Amino acid sequence: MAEPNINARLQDIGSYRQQILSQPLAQGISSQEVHNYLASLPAGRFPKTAYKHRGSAPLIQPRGGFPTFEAQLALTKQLYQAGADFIPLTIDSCTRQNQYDTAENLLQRSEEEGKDYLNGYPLIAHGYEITRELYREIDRPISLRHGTPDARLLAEVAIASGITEIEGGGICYCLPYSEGFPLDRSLLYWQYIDRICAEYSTKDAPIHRESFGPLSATLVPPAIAITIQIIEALLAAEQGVTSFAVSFGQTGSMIQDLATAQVLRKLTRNYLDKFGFKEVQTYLVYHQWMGQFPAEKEKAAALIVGSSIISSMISADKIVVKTVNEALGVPAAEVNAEATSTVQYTLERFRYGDVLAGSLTSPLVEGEAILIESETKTILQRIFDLSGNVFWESVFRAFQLGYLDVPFSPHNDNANKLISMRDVNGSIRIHEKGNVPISDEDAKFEKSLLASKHNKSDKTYRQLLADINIMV
Amino acid sequence: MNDWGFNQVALVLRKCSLMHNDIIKDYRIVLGVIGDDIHVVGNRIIQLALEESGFHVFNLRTRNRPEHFCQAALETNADVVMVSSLNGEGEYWCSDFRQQFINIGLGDIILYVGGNIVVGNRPQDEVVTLFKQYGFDRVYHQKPDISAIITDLCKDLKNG
Amino acid sequence: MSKLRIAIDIGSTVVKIAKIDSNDEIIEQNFYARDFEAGIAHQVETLVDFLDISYDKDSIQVCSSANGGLRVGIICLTSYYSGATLRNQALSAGANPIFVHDLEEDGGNLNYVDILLVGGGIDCKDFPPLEQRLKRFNPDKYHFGLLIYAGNCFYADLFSRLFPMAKVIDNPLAESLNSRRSTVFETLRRAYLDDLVFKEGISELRNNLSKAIHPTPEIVNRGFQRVVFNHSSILIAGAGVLIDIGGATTDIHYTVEIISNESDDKPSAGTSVARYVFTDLGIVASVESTLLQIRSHPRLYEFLNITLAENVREVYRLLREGQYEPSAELLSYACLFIALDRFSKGQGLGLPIADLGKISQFVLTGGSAQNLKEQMVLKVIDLFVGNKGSNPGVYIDRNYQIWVDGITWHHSTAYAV
Repeated sequence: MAEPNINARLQDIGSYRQQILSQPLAQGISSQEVHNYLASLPAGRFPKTAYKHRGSAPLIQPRGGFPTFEAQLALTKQLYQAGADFIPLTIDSCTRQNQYDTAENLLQRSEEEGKDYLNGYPLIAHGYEITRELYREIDRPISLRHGTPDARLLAEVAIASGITEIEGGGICYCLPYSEGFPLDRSLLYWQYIDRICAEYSTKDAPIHRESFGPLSATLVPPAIAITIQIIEALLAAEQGVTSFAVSFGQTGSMIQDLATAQVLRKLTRNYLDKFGFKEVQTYLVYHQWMGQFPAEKEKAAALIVGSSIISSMISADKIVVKTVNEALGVPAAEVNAEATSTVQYTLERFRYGDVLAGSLTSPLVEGEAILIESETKTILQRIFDLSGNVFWESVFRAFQLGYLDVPFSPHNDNANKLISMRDVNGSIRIHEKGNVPISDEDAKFEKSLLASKHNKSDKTYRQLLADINIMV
Repeated sequence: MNDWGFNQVALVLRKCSLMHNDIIKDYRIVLGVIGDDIHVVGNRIIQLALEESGFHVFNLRTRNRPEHFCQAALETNADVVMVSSLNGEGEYWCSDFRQQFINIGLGDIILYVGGNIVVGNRPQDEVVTLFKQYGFDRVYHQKPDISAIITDLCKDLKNG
Repeated sequence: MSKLRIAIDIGSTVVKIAKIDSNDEIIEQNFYARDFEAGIAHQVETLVDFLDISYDKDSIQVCSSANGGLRVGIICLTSYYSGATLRNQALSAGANPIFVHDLEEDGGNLNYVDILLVGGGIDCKDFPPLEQRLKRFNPDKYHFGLLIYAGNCFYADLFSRLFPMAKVIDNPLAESLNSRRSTVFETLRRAYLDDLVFKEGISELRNNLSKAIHPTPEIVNRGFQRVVFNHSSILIAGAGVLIDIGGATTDIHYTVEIISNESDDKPSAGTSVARYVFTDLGIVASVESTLLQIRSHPRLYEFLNITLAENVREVYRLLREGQYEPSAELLSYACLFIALDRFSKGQGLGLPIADLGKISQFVLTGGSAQNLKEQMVLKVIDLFVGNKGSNPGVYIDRNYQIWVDGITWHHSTAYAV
């Protein structure tokens, strides 16, 4: 029996930390100085303040990262002016893979040749001192977006730079992003990150953590996504994090989006309370469609507008936005700023989605929510019931046993036995449950929902292709 | 996550209505992506498509070299090897592909390659000829129609 | 009051007995030179009585490296799949793979091995390439104690007919290339015990002691896993390597994320902590081969320059001429130096190329590590890492805590599933 427990909190990380900060590129970071620096920042730089002051509409966060300081500064200003409530800092893939030397070299080349050799901002190569300058004029929170299984040093440098929202987690930043990084280690490393976030937090100005719910962004059944979100919230709470956002990606079905939001919000709270983490404040973040975007700009724009309205209907605390150029690669700063304005326009013009959605009841949404909740609870209980005495280890075992199985994850530790498809409503259904321990009843129900659509003469893979590319 | 080559798979596939009812038992296929390519969606779909047609698939998934395909084919007693590449690394890795199989006594094995197998825009004929020289029996450069591949495969296996 | 736990390590020259408290910490440990006249069984029992330990069957755990580890030869279908599976399971079971051959390039090997392991192919009928190779296989080209077949189960009968002396076990590959069936691991562990019985007369040990003797490297590997999992008083902040320098062998245990992207050899998928053994590096039984290696090493002068306080030129000359008898301390550094050099280049049978710069913690354990100094170890490491690395920490396990961690931890992730 390995339930989340406050006893799992890392004690006395001083020498561990010294080890991490001994990396030459992290030189000069002193936790006392960082504490003082964080204390000197305006309250608006912390997600807690931003969330507290959000009106009826979700807060808006674009994405974006460029290699050089100048380009990143320009992007930051553009996004700020366009009305982004959270300013993103997206990290390049060399830094994500802990190849700091390569990132440093490519940064130098980018600076010298005026051409981008990195697909994001190499934060560790830049260092915290210069990065602080990026945000000198900014009174909104900065969010670290990356995809790094071992982000210990990155998180240290980010917090030292005044970045107060750290996205990621031991599962969500390992399984979709890496094929071989050992999952056990990723979980352990994120314990450390959660711990330092907690240590740098004060009651009014906590360092905020956010999990990445879309995962592989390819037909992930809501129960799997929700289970992983709850697990990461619990693991963070074990380490003392008090401000945490769970998230999920637009599923492609409005019914399922509404139900997922309901269950995710409710169960995250329930489980945190159940294990004694009442003090943890939670938020809900919605990612606009993370799958293949339509190449036609009008359709891309429609998709962005549509999902903005859904974010309002589910009363998301924040929406992470995409651009009309999504199908073409890394979008330019202007395009990101435009997307931000579009979403802002939509959210302002189509207000009270949440109020309306809340006052209407639909058997479709309710039935969906009951199913997702039942599946999530069953999976979680099976993980809690695994032998052992620490929760993270049970989570690790759950993947080895295939209790948790993320479709289309490239990771070696992922079972790949679960097969999911869309039903007539476009909702994601579990076609083959593999070793995922949902009840036989729920599994049968999932299948029966597929049956109405299932064209017996058609091949599964052909349906899968259509299901994945539903928005194209 | 974007998966460029994969999108094309879907587009072409939708136009294709070719169906098969052949159920092929006991044929064994080694499937994998060559080079430093981490795209798994297309790979997984091909696996499911082949399994659905009754093939026994051994999926090596991503980041493979030619010798991995050879050794896997030997260990699994495979009839067919299917190599895919989406980022154009195929040309770099595949030049003595057939020869490597001949070296371990599997010269007769059926070899397929598909995806975006060369870098840049090059004429279809040129690419097909090149990879046939490397010893592949079928070459599907930017022709991601899985049904057609399975039809060809059934034909090639019947002709043995 | 909680029960006292006793851990016994029977080494080739020393017997170590530790009393351990309920927090898995050592209360007391004692070392005794092996009494070869009395025999191991008699000596251990005398010591147990002498230390006033009662034979409660749960409270005594024993591991041993008395026979220097099983020597295993591997004949496989391909090095990347069946070869790697057999080798990795042998390593996890604490055995020493001496060679890995393809069935095809069956040129033979004159090194004696305790076990010759033949495997390959997933379980599958009508498999001509395997059949042909098995029929061509000629065990007379090898020197071995026991022949074991661990290949495609449909060809086990053929193999038994061809080689009636062979023992057959289940194919660890089963029907896939990434099965986690641990048949070789289990078999080698049992064979290890049989070997101890045969060579060291352990059969006379009381039943409750001899039943569960584990190979010491397996215990150390488990101890290292425990450290990596943060369940130990030893702290590793990230990627780590444990180096166990012994009399006959030098073992490395490492977290797999240090393997370079360029490396062709990799441990099996799902492995998180792996082991490798250099059977020719050690400070007692392997002293000759260690000397031979260090003497001809291109970086010998550099090595001596940092490990010796004086007379570097003189020692260099004498060593090169084969006229210098190095101290145990210098030999231990030499084992460390050669092991790291090979690891950084992937120079060794199935040894991956390591990116030593990614390692944040080096841990040294074993009898030979006791006389090393952290500062000096760091200098040796610097020869391979330079200034581009992560500024690693060095921890010398002077209390054999890793061993205690391993022997008291009832959890194994390696083959738990």
